[in-house]
Amino acid sequence: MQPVATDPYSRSASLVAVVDADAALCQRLRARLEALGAEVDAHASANAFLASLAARLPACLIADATLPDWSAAELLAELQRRGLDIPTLVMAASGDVRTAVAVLRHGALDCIEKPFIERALATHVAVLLGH
Amino acid sequence: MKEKPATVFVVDDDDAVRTSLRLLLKSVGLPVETHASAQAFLDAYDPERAGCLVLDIRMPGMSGLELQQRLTEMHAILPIVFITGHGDVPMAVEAMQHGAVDFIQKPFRDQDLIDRINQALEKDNANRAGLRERDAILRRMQQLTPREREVLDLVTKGKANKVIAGDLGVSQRTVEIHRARVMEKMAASSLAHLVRMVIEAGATG
Repeated sequence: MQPVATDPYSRSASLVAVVDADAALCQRLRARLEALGAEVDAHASANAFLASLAARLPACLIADATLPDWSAAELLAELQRRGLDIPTLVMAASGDVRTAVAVLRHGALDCIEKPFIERALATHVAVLLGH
Repeated sequence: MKEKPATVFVVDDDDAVRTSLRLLLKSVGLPVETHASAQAFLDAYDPERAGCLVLDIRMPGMSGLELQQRLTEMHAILPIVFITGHGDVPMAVEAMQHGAVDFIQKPFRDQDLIDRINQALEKDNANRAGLRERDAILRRMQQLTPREREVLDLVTKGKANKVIAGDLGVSQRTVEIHRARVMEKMAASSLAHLVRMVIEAGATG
């Protein structure tokens, strides 16, 4: 067994995990998400995010396609391997069709080009807030 | 009934693309059928034919995404590999969210396309095997008498013979006889197997 909180009660309905090495982007997303009523947990790498799961499972995940340690597709595969079904939005570079296809194949809910991510949050608010 | 060989259906409005894909797929021994438009494909469409669809996104008339939608409405199970010259992220996301197996951009390596097509063919094969298995289970279920059907429902809900006897107002011995007939008609090797078949057939509850 992985030391991961799989108990449904440890899933926080309003907790959104943001994983991106860009601290400024994390900050902007935090402000937007908090305005929507979400609680935000930001991490700079896939490993930091995975380590956080032992404490609490987020209602959803917003991950950069290319994290310093892993790709988002690899991260999705790892979550699947651990039996964790976390609705995930992936942020890709503009025009990165290959990544969009890869992450959707790995079960991502959506893939959004980075310039449009803040606008896309409103579309996904129900998922973000665990409804 | 013997399955027809799997066919790769190529739908692209560009003559040169159709020709080159036909040659490529033939060179690796895959049966190919090409259509110059989504409508031409639909006119020839036969749900019994196994295979996969290699579909251009942008075509005059019905687009590839529209054809995907039409096929979904028709409950078609043919896996789709999209190819496109000028794909964008929202288009790729839409195609994948609607169940495409893959979405690849030109120019692509021949081997990449062949790999994706083989994955799609394997998926179609597995889907069709699943459907055949389901049909076989449903046919067996139809051979049960109404009383045997009741016993099947109760047995697969995990009820003991004694409880079933009480529920149906018959003797425990009668339940045992029905139960044995159910196992035989369903060709079930164990209770777990019987339960799995009922779940696969989607006939629970």
